[in-house]
Order: sequence, then structure tokens, then C-alpha cells
Amino acid sequence: MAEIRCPMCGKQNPAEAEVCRFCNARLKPLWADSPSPTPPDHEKARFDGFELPEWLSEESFEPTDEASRDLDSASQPDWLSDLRDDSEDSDWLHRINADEQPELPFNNPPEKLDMLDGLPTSEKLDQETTQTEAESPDEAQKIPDWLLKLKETPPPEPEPFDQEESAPDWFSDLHEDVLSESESLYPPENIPDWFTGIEETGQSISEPEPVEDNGNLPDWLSGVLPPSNKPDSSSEADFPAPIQDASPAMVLATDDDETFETDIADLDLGDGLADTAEKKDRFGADFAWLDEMQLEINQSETTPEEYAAEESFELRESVPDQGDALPDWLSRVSESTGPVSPAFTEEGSPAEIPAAELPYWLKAMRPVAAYNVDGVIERSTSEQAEKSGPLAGLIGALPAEPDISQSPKPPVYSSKLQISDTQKLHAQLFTELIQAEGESKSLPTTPLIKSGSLIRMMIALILYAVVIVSLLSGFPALNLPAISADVNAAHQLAAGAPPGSPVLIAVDYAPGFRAEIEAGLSALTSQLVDQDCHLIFVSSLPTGPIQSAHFVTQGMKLSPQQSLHWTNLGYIPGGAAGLLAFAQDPTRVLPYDANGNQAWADPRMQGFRSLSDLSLVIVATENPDTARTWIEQVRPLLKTTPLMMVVSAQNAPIIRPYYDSYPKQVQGLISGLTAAVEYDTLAGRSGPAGGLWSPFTAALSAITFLILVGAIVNFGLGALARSRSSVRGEGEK
Amino acid sequence: MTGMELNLMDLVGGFVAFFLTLFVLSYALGDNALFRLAIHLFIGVSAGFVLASAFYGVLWPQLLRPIAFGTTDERLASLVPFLLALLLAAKAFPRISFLGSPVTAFLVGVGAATVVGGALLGTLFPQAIASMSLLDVTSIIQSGGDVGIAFLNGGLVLLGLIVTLASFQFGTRIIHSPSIRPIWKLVYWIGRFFIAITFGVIFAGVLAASLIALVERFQFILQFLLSFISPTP
Repeated sequence: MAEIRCPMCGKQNPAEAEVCRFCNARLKPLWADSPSPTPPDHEKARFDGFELPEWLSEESFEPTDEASRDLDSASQPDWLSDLRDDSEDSDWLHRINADEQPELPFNNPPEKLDMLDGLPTSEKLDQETTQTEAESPDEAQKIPDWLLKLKETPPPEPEPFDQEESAPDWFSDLHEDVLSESESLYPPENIPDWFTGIEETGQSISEPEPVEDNGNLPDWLSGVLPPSNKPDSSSEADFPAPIQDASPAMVLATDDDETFETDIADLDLGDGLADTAEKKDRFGADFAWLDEMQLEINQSETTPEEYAAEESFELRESVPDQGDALPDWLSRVSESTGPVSPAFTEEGSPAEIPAAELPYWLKAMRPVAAYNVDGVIERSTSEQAEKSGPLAGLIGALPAEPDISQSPKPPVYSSKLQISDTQKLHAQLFTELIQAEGESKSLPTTPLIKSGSLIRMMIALILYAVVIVSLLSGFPALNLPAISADVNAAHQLAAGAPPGSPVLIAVDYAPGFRAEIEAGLSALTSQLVDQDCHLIFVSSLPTGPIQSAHFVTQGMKLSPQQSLHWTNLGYIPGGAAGLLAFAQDPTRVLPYDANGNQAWADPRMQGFRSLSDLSLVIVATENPDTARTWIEQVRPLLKTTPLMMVVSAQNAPIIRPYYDSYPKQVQGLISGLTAAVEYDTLAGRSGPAGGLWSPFTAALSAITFLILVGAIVNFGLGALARSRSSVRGEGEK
Repeated sequence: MTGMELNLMDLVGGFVAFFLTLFVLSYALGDNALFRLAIHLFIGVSAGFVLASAFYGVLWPQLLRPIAFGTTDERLASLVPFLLALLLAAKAFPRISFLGSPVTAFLVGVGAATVVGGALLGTLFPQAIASMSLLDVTSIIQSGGDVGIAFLNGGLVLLGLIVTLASFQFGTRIIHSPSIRPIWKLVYWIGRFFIAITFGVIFAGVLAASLIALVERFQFILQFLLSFISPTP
């Protein structure tokens, strides 16, 4: 009954057991995640025809392989482990040997060979990889830069293997022993042609010597050798690095192939099994897992094209790294490998897949700063190979400059706008408008003296000259105007005021009209003063109180004795409402006079408690609104008290309807300088109005003359312009 | 009184008035700094004088003095105007200006009512009655006027009133429309004639008032200057 040894605890278990009955470790792998534990095709073919020794049938490749992996993973960095895994996964060495494998005397199972034939060879993969990169730059962009640089770097030529210098003693002894023993067992005439070919191309081993088991060989190799020639296990450290790193299965393939085949032949002869069918039956159970692994590979998601592309990169990177340590014979085997038939010939191969084109919107979204548009990354010419550290031997693994300095030049986009002619026209107009805003426009030169100003100055000079001449010379000595009915009525009205009676005078004119208003008011008040009337001054203007005082002191020129005949009640606030309130109750609205004294405590004010107690109300104003307010608010409360207006000539047309109406709302009206002069004439006194009359008439005549001249000139210029325009219009016709 | 006999205040006041008058009259040469100086002085002095007049003529005697020195009745009577005055002063501050709105509303309401009432009772109704009585023979005879002239005067007044009011009803677009009747165009032009006469009379009054002011100012200048030369100008 066959037994297998547990790779974990090392104890024997039945061959059909899947798990160890001692430690429950899995004895048979569920699936082969890497082709490394799978014996190469040609080795499988060799095993089919031989009966392995017991140690070989019991020993599985996986335990040693897993132990080696554990050791590697514990002592090496990740990146190096990945590289190793890639190299192991690629199983490049197996395929190289498989390509070289000639037909054996015994037939291999076709299903097992198909699995290995499906794997692409290195040359084929190189071609396909190059083609794939050229056709699909996107795929190339997925590859890291260091890997691209490393791939494009030509692999260094492996140094010629000097057996005498590089190989340890045990390895040389092993070679000599195996070769000598094989020559003794297999005379040259019995050696097949393919083996002769390998021998010729391989290292010439003339006299193999028996291998002495001096303790330098590993256990698995000691099992292969005869018991007397097993090397010492303690000499494992003397193995070359590739051999140490490689798994036992890999060593079977990469080690001295001639030695291995010699051992197999030795075993075959020793076993005495000549029937090929029996060999197949014997090895069929042990390599049944190969069938399962093939099915798993065929059912895996990785397509042959992708697998070939990945394997191509892995092979290109793994071969140069290990080439330095490979034995010379293996290098020659690799070099002698002929053209390999394509692994994939069915439709849909990578060469026939049309290159995919990105849609334009996806190209627009593609970052252009990190990658240039053409997908070609410029390579630095100053790439150097790492000389020390874990990256020793790699070229361009570490960039000399940061990646940002290697960013491609940003693409230059055209700044030409695609606009229509109308938009160009609008843009041009807008540009001209903006430029025109920036340009300083020269101000129109203004003449020193404009025609309007000149005319205005001429009129002023004429008027000033006429007034000054008239004032100085008294020219023209015009007759005083005739007394009008209005002035006569006003004089009779004033003359009707009883002596000592209160007369209210509203000083509501602006200071600018003082001359005109005071000319008529002074004539009237002088008569009232002469009649010993008590003058009470009020005003609805803030400046009224001081104007009243100025009029009394400066205009009327009252003597100190006459100064007792007047009272200044001051300012009536509130506009129309204030006037109405004053008309309703004057004592409440104006309890104090302009000097702050109790106005109504004066004995002369005893007979005045309401407006009806007044003998006459005189309103002096140049403002028609003020006059109308007095008429509207105060006049209805005056009852029989007459209301007299001393107004300016400019508002006389507005006040006259109140005077001319029937019944009269205004009983007396003195308007302007003319009425003042008439009143002075009627009263027989000379007032300020007389001194203003001649200059006023002279200035009025001058201004009338100027208005007439201006009107005539304007009419002439207008007629001339119309005639010119009519002539121009006829000429155009 | 000669210029030499004037006291210092009158002399200074006379010179100030003299130069300010010249500054204002310099406007005949165009807008200049002297004219602006005189105008600015006039506005500033007027504002200050109005404030002083309002305080000494209104606030102090009618509001503050009754509160400070008045009797209890005077104080209570002055308290309401004082509070209203404070609320009205709040209009000067934007954050509390709303406090013065009721007082402002009160003033505007009272003022509007006063003006409207006075216009109706003092102008509109009396003037309407007066216009109707222009053609009243009894009234004409009672007034002692000539009936014929009174009728002519009354007819002109009535015509001017009608055509003036009618002319305001026609705009330029309407009166130039070809569909309008010629009679309405005649009414429109007669109304415009009356309005032009009215404005001409008002302009003549304004011109006369201005000439009187100008003559008075030149008279002052000459009197002021001649007072230093001769005792009587």
C-alpha cells in the first residue's frame, strides 16, 4: 500500500488520504495556483515511462516548494517576492525545456501536452506583447514606468558560465559521477539522437565521476543519487543563488538536465520495467492532479491572450535577472531554442483584435498633464542601473527626477475663436467702443467771451450807466404819475382810521423787495403815524421782526416821541395755520413781543384783543401766496375791518381780482413804485419813492428799448436764416 | 449825515453792504467767486438768523419759559407741545425717526385742512360769485359803474375765463389733429393769447420790481460814496 508523507508533520499517510490523519494538513493540493509545482511536460513524459523510487513517489514537490516560499517570504522584501512569484508563475524554464523536448520513445498523454502547448513561448509572447502594446496604448499605460523601462532595456548578456570557477565542488563532482556512470551504463550506440544532440550543444562532460556525498547536497538531491553518492545536506549553502531560490520542481528542470535524465535512465534500468503501459498505470495515480490542474487552467477567467501578455512581461524581466546565475548549458539551451510555433492560432488572437478607439468625449476628459496626448512618455537618457541595494541591476527603477519634472509639455490649443461674421463685427464694434473710451477727447475750445455773455454784459453796462446817470443827474425829469382811483381809495381808507386805534401791519416781504414795498408802506404808515394810530407789526416770516424794526427806525425815520406809537409782536409761526390761529386769538398765539416782553400788558394794547378790534389791517408782501393766505385765512375773521394790500408790482395782477371783486375782499391796494409815488403826491409828502422814480423810469425805458432791439434783431436773424434755408433747399432740388 | 459822522458799527455795516452789493452786481460779468461769496454769506446769515429768531421768538417764550418759570397750568399746557416737539426732533435720527411720523402727520393734516378750507371759503367761492356779478346790472348800478363798460369788462373776463380753461383741455397733439373743428382751434388760440397777456403782465411786474431793487442799490452805493464827499448826495 502506497503512502505519502505529510508535508507538515512528516508522518506517513495512506496514498488516497487527502488530509493528514495526524495534523489534518491537506496532502493533495486543491488547485495549482502556479505552474511551478507542476512537472514540465517533458518530465511528465519521462515519468510516464519509469517507475519512480519510493522516495520520489512519496515525496511531493509541494512541501519543499511551500517551505521554500515561506522562507523566501520571511526573509525577502515584498517586491522581490513578487518578482520571484512572477518568475515562478511564468514557468519559463519549463516551457523552454518543453520547446526543446524531442519526442520520447514513449507517448505522452495528449491531454497533458495540450495544456502545456497552450502556453505561449517567450518569443511568441514577445511578439504578441509588442504587437499588443502597439495596438493598445492604453494597456501600455497601465504598466508602471519602471517596468516599461525595464522591459525596453535589453537584457544583459549572461556571463559565460565557468564551471570550474562558479560551480561548487559538489556540483562538479556530481556532474562527473553522473556522466561517467551514464557512459558506463549507456554506450553511445544506445543513446538516442535527441540526447546526443543535447549533449553536443550542452556542456561537454567527458568523464563523469562518481559523486561523493560529502554533505553539500540537499535531501531531495540526495534521494536522486545513489545512496553512496548522496551529498551532505549541510552543503546546501554552497548552491548558486538561482538554485537555492528555485523550488525543487524547478531544480528538476533547471538543474543539470543531463544528470537528471541520467538518473531517470538509471532508475529505469534499475527498476526493470519495460512496458510503457505499466509505467503509465503506475504514474497515472501520482500525476492525476495534473489533469485537475489543467481543467482548472482551462476554466480560469484569464484568457489566453491576457495570460500570454502577462507572461511576456514576466519572462522578459525574469530571464535577465537569473541569467547571470544560470549554468552555461542552460544558456546554450535557451539560445539554441528555435522558432516556436504560435501558441494561439485560433480567431480572436491579439493580433487580429482591432485597436479600440476612445470616443472623443473620453479623450477630452483624459488628463493631459500627467500623460501626453500621444501616449508616449519620453524616456530619460540619463537612466542608470542601480548598483546596490535590493534594486541592484535594475535600470531606471528609481527616477532620477520627480515625476513632475518628467511631465510632458502641455498641449497647445489654438486660440482662434470660431465665431460668425456678425459676432466678429460686434466684437470689433465693442473693441472700438472700449478703445474710444480710453482716448481722451479734446475739450471744445471755449472763447474767452461768449456771444451770450457779451450781450449780457452790454445790457448790464447800458442799464448800470442809465441808472447811475439818472441818479446823479436827475435825468429825465419826468412828471409824477397821476393819482389813480386805487391809491385814492387807499388814502381814504387810511384816513378813516380813528386816532389812537390799533393798526396791524404785516411785514411779509423779502429783504430784496424792501425798496419797492417800503416805498408805498412808508407813505401809508407816515399818514397813520400822523393820525396818532398805534402801529402793531407782525410777520409770518422769520426775518419779519427785524425788518419791521429796520423799517420803523430807518424807513419811517420816526422820532423818539413817535417811537411810542408802534409795537413789534414778532413772528407768527405755523404758516397758514398760524395765521388762522392768530386771526382767531392773537393774544394766545403771540403773548410776547419781539423783545420778549408781555405784549398785551401794554396799555396801548388794551383795546386790541381780536382782529375785529383793529381799525385797519395792512399786509405788505411781494409774494402772491402770502397775500392769498392772508386773504383766505384772516380776511373772513376781520368782519368790518378793512384789509389793505401793499404789494410789489409783480404780484399786483394776482391780488387785483380780490380787489376788483364785488364784494371786495381787499379794500385797498398799493402796488409798486408808481402807486407809492402817487400816494406821496396825494399825501403831500416826499418819501423815498420820489427819489427812485426818475432812475426807475429811465431804466425801464432803457430796458424796453433793449427788448425791442433784441426782438428786431432776432426777427431779422430768423428771417435771414429762413431765406438761406429756402435758397439751400431750392439749390438741392 | 455824512460818512464821517457815522459810528463804527454803521461805518462797518455800510462798507460790508457796499462791497456785498458790488459782489452781487458782478454777476453781470458772469458767475464768479465774488458773487458766490456774497450768496454764501447771505444763505449762512439767513440760516443763523432764522434759527435765532425761532428760538427767541417761539421756543423760548412759548415753550421753554412757561415750563421753566410758568405756573402749573402753563407747564401742563406746555407739556404736550414739548413732547410733540421732542417727537418731531426724532426725525433727525434715522433709527427713531418713526417717532416723529405722528407729529409730522398731524402738522401736514392740519396744514392741508387749513389751506383747503381757506381756499374754498376765501378764494374759490368769493371769486366765483364775483365773476358772476360782473354781468349783474344791479350790482353794476350799485357799484356806480358804467353799465356798458362794465358789460365789456365782464364780457372780456368771462371770455378770458372760458377760453383759458378751455385751452388747457387741448394738448398740442389734439389741436393739430386734422379732425378737430376750427372753432376749437380758435378757442385754443384765444386762450393762449389770454395766458400770454397774463404772463406778460407778471413779467413786467417782475421786471419793474427788479429795476426798483437795482435802482435802490445804486442809490445806496452813490449815497454811501458821496457821504464821504459831500454832506448830501
